Amino acid sequence: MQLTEDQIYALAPDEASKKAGRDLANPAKWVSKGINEQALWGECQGSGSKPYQTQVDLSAIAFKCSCPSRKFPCKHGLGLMLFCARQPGLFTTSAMPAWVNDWINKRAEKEEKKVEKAAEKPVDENAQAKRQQAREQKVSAGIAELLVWIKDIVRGGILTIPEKTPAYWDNMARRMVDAQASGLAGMVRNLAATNFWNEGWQSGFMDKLLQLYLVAEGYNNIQNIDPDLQQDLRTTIGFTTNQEELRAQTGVRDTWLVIGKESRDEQQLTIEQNWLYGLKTNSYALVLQFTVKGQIPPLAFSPGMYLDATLVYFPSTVPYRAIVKDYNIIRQTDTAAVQTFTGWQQVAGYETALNSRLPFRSEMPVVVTSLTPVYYQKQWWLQDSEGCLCKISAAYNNIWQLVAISGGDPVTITVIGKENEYRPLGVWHQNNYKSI
Amino acid sequence: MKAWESIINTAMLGTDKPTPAIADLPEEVVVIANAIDAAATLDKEERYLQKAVVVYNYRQSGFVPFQKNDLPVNKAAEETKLYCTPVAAGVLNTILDEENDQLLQLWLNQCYKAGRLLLPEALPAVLEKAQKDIALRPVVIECSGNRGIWLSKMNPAWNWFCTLADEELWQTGTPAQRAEVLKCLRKNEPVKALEWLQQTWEQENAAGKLELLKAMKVKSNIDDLPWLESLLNEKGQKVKDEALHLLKSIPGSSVIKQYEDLLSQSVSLKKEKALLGLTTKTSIQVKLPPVVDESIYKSGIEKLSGPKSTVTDENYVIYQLISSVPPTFWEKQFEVAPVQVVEYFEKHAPAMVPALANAAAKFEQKNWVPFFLGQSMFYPDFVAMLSAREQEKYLLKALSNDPQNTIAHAIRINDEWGTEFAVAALLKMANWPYEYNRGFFTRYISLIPVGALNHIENITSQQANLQTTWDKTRNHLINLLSLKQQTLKAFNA
Repeated sequence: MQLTEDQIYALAPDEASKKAGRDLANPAKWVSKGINEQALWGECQGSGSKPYQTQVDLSAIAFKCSCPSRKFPCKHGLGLMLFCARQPGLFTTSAMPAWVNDWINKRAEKEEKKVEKAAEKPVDENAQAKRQQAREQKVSAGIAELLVWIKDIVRGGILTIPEKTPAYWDNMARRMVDAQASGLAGMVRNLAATNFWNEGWQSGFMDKLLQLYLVAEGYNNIQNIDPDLQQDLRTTIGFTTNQEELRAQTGVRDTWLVIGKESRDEQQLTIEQNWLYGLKTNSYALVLQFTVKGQIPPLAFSPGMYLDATLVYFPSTVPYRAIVKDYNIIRQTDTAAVQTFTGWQQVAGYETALNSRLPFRSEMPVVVTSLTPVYYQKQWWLQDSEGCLCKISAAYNNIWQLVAISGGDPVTITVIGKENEYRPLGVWHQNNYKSI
Repeated sequence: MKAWESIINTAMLGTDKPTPAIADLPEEVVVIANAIDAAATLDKEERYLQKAVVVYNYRQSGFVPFQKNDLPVNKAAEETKLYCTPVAAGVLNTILDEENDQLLQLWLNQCYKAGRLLLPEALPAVLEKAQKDIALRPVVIECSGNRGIWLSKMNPAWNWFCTLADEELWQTGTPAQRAEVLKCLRKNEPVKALEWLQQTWEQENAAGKLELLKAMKVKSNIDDLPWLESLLNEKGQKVKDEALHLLKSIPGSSVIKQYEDLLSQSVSLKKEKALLGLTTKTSIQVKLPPVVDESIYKSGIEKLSGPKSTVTDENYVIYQLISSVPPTFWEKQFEVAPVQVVEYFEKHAPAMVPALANAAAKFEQKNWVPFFLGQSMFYPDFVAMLSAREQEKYLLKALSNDPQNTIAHAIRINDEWGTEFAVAALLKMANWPYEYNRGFFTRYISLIPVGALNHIENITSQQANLQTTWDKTRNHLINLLSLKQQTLKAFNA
């Protein structure tokens, strides 16, 4: 098995599962166990008369367990993987028992059926075009209202904006939902989420307001712009892209390193962001997963994991968001292949190029080499070998771990942010990538 | 950036006020700004928004990192010791997740003994722990290496790394630090500690005097007597009480002499001829003299035994006095060896035997202890005075008579229990799983030896209804013991 303990812990749905899984990473708990290239399995003696049958598909990190837990992965799955990571010598390579074999075969069959089903599905193109036209009309109407609303804000001045009631923001966000522009609704909510207690909130607020204006006004002129940029606008507004069509494309095959993972809950939905870095193509990608409570996310990635995968980017002037077409977890490869940015000047140049193509883009990670955390003017910065400094985001709370790892020496760090403020996602330490 | 400031200023006041002038904008965007101004279809809000969008993208695209080449180099010194192994680091991570300070202490002690260091990435979490738990600090400092010292200089919360010399700390430290320094010095150089305290005594306030006096309890001895006696004239009552408390622990002090005088008048060994002078009949007579100096009652001796007590007031006073004088007093008083003193008391004044045992414990008379061990009564204060082997034997004996009381005293021991006693105690604890719960074992895991793991699966509750609860506690205990075992293996493999 390729995963380290940290990577396994990163798969846990919550702290309680981590703890329970850790308690089960004990030889005494497992009646039987085994491993081969495809799967890891074991029978764990629980409180019932029969032991729970726990199995892990190692090629794609998928779990199945006969326990009644609704958590995913359950403590038995985590415990089994931790046990294997800690004491691999106790797991002998053997043929899969029938219950594991059945599950692995079913998974393969299911994948095949999915592909066939997608191919067979008839599409009523006329109805689809009508639906699309109706939606575009609704979006245009919504955007017209949004532009009036934005103009009202700048006419009156933003000085009194902090006094606005939640209903002020909520009404416009709802209006955008009615207009089937969920992306714009999210941007309005994000405006409302500005921390008005912070000194200098005005600049951040205006950044967001202008991005919103740029997207809304851009949509009004969508016919006159580049097709990729059109797609960016549509995606930002909330038009979905057919993932089956994407999946049919060739994609980018590479060795991808998972450089960061973060989850957040938004309106009963868990949004998981997985940032990937392609070692050979020197490209970055964001893989999003949306799950409702109790639903099993199809991908289980953790930072530091290496994947031999094909990713397909969503059409964009700045290809960034992607789907995983196929993947296999592989052993750590030579990290010398990582082509990093050598300093902040280079990062600024790269970001300028991106901004010139897509001014309303979201923050993207970059791997920068030779950065040293330094304390200057009562705050932490990352200094490159040329002496250039960028602030570490005040919200970043693992600063001491980063400083301890660095010891005052330059390290290679993955950061995400823009302009002169960044948040570290991970660091290379003793040839290992570590999420921090 | 001036143009952006201008955009924000307009945003603050609204577009009814003057909007950014072309002169305020960067040269590179002037052409676009002019085109926007020239567009007749745009109203003033749209003009402002479009120019603002251009400046916004100009700002984010034209970002120039701030450069500062003269920042002082601040690097951690190279380590001279090796880091701990990845296996040991993994165990530490699990212990930190488990939030068990006992196991953390064990891990750090093992790391220190092995001459290894914490991995840098684990330092912040361990330093945070030691910030809250002072007892961990010395060993954390040892295991943190140069990286830890370097790190601590940057975080004021970790300034406990920079340890000043004892004398400097004594002169300039906080009251708690000074008391700690005095306590440490007292262990190694009691006379010097006394000198230090005498030098600053007059400058100390009442609270400080009290705390520092408490530190003098360590290795209190006859050399302290003249000074301690003088403290009985101090103004503060609490200081006087503490001085008296210390004097009561030093044989030869005025208060102990006073007790001994009174005891020599109250307890006497009578030898009478019996059977026509063929045998000698020995008895102990216990009676207070008709007039007792009232000052002894002000020194902490209670005059009345209490309304519900079955002991007479006179016997109660004598019991307290016997507890308060060194047992060697009786060797001189009765002119016999310690073993006979105990025998006499057992035979002729059995009610006073516990008082004699208390005195042996209080004055740490180890040679007296064996004479009490065979008695049915359990003397918990003796446990700490016994060797590991004797301790286990004594506790095992007590456990069968009074398990809960024995366990309550056994958890006060600093050293790990012997496996035999631990297993016996766990067998008893299995019957009280609500009392000996997960929290109990989390707190006292340092006492339970890893050897108990071999027996623990067979330890069950005698009451079927408690078995499920005990099972859960036992699983927790197994996990803690496994971590303990992994820690020991990681450093002693």
